[in-house]
Amino acid sequence: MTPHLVKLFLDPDEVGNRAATLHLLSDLIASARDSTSKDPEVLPTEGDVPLSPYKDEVLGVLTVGLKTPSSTQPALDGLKGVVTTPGLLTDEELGFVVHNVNELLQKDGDESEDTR
Amino acid sequence: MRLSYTRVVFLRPLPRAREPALGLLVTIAEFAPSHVTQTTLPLLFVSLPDRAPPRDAQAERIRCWRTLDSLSRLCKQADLFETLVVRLLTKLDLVCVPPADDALAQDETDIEPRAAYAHSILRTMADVLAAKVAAGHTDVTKYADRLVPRIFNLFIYAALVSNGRYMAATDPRLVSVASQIVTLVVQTLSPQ
Repeated sequence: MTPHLVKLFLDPDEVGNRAATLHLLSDLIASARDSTSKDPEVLPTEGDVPLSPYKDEVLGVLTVGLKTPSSTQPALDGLKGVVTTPGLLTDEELGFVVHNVNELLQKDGDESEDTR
Repeated sequence: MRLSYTRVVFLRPLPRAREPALGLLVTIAEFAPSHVTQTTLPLLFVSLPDRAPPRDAQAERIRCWRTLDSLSRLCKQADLFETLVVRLLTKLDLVCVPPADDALAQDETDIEPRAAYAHSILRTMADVLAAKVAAGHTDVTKYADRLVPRIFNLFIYAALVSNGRYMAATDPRLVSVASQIVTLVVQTLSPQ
């Protein structure tokens, strides 16, 4: 399901549906996270974490989604699901997510000043 | 600073994105605060000026308010709060205590914006503290010997150098919010 959604997002003909695609993706991420072990003390071994085979692509489409106003919200939801999935992201990848959110905040700040 | 008025509203990111974006950072900061402390916070602090925005600088005042609002939503986690306190106290010192030979310090029209800015800074600290106390954060007690004396000193110093003039730090509204901060912190100390 995940690779299909990623492909759908990247399809140039489906650009208008990006927000909807990301909604589905973020629901999928949350379900995958919730279906794993509930014990927070036990980190899954690498490879057992759902979505880890598609991690790079998922992070990629979510960060692209952040940059367009219509898909920002579902992208943020998806990223929240990803960062709260135990054992999925490395520390470096977390830093990458923070960096992208910082850019979003900066952009929001800069552009708001220009409006009257 | 000239503003351009031509930007079309619907081209900018929805301001509503700000809250969930901050929410995501708060979530990340709960288990990995270093990224937010080292990258997000400096970006926010750099847009807080060291002197109060003048009365007619509408855009700058809005930006200040928005930055302080973002900081108050973001900085409940212990490490972030610590950074917030350190940086905001430094700003407060700069804002409240003008250099003795600063001609602007004599300018009455500068005082009210300075008091308003200082009040916003203190208000931010008070709001986050109140949220932390309500959530039962145990790191609040350590601010008893850091935050409380610093704030007292600021007011005492300002009172001493004021020579009877109205100064930003002697404004009653500032004293009020500062006493809220002191109360919030002291309440968490266990009786000895």
